[in-house]
Amino acid sequence: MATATEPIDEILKRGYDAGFITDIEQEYAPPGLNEQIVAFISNKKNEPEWLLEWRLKAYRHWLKMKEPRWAKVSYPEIDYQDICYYAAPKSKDDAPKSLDEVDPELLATYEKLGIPLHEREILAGVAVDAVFDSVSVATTFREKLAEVGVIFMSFSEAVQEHPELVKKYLGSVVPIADNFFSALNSAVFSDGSFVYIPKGVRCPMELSTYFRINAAKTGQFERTLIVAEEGSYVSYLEGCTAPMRDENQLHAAVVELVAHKDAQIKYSTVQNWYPGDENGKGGIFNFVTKRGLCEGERSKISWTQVETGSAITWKYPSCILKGDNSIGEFYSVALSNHRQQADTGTKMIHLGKNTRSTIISKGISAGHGQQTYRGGVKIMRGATNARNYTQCDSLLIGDQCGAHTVPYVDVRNSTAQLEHEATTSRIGEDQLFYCRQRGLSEEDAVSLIVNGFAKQVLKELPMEFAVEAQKLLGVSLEGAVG
Amino acid sequence: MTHERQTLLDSLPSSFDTGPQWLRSVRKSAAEALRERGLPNKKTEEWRFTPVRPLVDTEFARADAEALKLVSSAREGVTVRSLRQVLEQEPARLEGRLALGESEHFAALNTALFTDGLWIHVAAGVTIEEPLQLTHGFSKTTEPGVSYPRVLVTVEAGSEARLIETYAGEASEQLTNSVVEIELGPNAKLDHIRIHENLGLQVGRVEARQEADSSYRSVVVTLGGALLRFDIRALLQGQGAECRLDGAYVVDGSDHVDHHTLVEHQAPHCRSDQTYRGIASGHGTAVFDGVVLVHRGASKTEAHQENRNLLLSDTATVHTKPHLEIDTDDVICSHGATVGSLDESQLFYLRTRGIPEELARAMLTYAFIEEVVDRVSHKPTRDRLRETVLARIPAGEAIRGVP
Repeated sequence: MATATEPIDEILKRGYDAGFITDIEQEYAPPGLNEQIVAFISNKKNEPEWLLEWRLKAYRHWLKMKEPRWAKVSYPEIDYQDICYYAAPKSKDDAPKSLDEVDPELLATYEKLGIPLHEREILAGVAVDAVFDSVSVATTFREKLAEVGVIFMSFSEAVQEHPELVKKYLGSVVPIADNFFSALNSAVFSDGSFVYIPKGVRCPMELSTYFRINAAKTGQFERTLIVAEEGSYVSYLEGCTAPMRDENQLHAAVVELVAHKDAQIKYSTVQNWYPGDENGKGGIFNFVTKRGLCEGERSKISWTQVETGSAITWKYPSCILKGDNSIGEFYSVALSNHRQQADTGTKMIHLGKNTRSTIISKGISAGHGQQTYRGGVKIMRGATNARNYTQCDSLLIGDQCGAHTVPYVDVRNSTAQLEHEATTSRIGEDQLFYCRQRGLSEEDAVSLIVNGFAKQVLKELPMEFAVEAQKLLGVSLEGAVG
Repeated sequence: MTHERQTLLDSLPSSFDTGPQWLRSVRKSAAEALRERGLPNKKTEEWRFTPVRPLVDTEFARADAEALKLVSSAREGVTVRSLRQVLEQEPARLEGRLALGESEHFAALNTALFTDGLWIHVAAGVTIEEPLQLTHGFSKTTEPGVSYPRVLVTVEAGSEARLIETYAGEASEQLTNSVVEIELGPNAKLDHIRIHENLGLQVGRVEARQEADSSYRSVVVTLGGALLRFDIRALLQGQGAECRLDGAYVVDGSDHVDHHTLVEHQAPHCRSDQTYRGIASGHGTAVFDGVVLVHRGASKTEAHQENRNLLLSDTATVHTKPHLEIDTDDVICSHGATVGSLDESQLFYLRTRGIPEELARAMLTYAFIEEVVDRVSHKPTRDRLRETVLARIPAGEAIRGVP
């Protein structure tokens, strides 16, 4: 693996690989947010009346809400009237039918990021629904998926083609008024992905989306909705990179998952947005609401995330275990270096009988990075024989960083069994010494130990992601060793 | 002292005209901070799981009489004086030592309003074998009353002492808002046992400030309580200081008890351990919130924290929030929390040995908190506690008297 052998020094010099700006004419909505802008977005996307109403309802709710400040992150006040809520590549009207029609500059962007679409199409067998600032430009493999009845398309297309499904599930897991950022997203969401797996279908390939925030000063408001019908299975990958910008960009996404009886959803994220420079200038503000509903019996939702980017991360992928015998899992590696701040974790809400959940969280802080695990496990009265195991470990590199663990445990049923464990330490001198004694350089040794620390989570990632994630850990740790 | 009934906030006077200048200004800033910030409400994070309204909305009369009593007799090396007396005669000696308040809620209220209290002073280089025993009683009034006991314990360099505090009573209308401040000089040692029994409304606060190589050991045993909120803090300010905070709580009926611990590692080479065990049955609610804070520069810190809960009924509730905040890398820290019911395999084991189920359950339930009760270093107190704990455990009667 590249990380294990590549000297850290070299990686240090590399800087932020994905930092370049694509020059394409954009179609903007004027900055600011009011009912006209909401209507403008809805109109642009040719949405039905009910969806506009839904957006407006969310907007009105949002006006009444206060930005949450309980997370252990600090950032300057966000001026929500100074953000453009809609930006789409101009070529949108004559939407590309195949890759050939896609703006070559866009393709080049993906190329630089290492997502060669056509190659992936053939070699990796991954269908990529790439979102480039808000409008989906190319969706591959759709036909093959259609054969088995899987619907995988951009959210706006789904609104046009499957309005009944969208209407049924939109907001069913994350209600409009859930929180400040989800309400904002509900009002102005621009695009995203929609996945529907029919009854008994095992999705034949890993579904994947790549997001990029491109235009300066545009917030990206993704909306992802995945519905797995009875007995189906899907694995969904989400990868994120953004070009380098000095101003902070806002990202407030909402992801909703619904798993019916015996269905399984595996959702993996590798988030590598621009973290800002060494002094904390610039970087993405990532405020994401992700929640899965295990609606039916024996359903299972598994979240895996590798968070190495963003200046601020505020993200708690959660599971509502409603069906009896349903399972929720959360595997996370979060790394914060320089001035990055991450407040992330999960919430497991046990409602059904014999529900089980597992939480494995690994936090790595270096430089002036601040890392918080914030998790909640709730066992409600009716959740007989519920079981939870939580482990959250933190690794500290350098004496200027911080690691915080804030688990909330709330139990109302006496048959529940809950365990929570957490440890915090730095890389052991003896571990380092052992590696050095075997002839590894200090950088290699650190990289080896960090990857070992995170292995329990990395092994949950699909193969191609696992490699990328390991590389990212190495890159993001730049300058931390010493 | 007035006896009219007022809400806690309304009872703050507009000016402080008695006592030494420094105390007036400490009280004034505590009162100002309180007026500005108000008392907590249900949105206040530290009070998230505990209903604070009965404390904030009720109108109380002052009822300080009989609030504090020192049971033990005088002995060499220990001086016990009334705070009021010291404040009148040698106010300078207490300057800077009764400072707890400005950034607090209920402790600030105590700072602004306490009228008297005790200063227990242990001179340097003495070892006090027999424990100092303090009891907090309640004046028997029919209307809601509030008292503000205040204790300052100073253990000078190299000394060793033991303090047993008992808060007991059935007065459900009475609110006790106590503050105990503890100062441990270099190499001083204090064993502190605190017992809460059958209390009505109780808000308590203990803060230990520790200098180098000092050792503070606390065991808190809470047996029921209509509404009890207890905060204990150990501030490890000097190198090599160590503390051990242990606690056991038993709730039943409609009890609501809430324990908060905070260990602040401010200096390098300090060590802290915490073990809190709880048993919840009936409609009781038990809350635990423990924080370990490691400051930048507090290298070579070792901190461990553990909270285990036994949930014996489906109508009882347990909230636990063990919490680590670490700002330096050269540390070894861990915490763990569990909530569960009795282990079926352990029960089975005892049953195969011919032990009746009821007795087996009682044994396992008591064993769950026995570890903490055993840490009470004073034998007579430990024996008495064992009996009272057993009396509260379902079928605990069955194992009373068994050694």
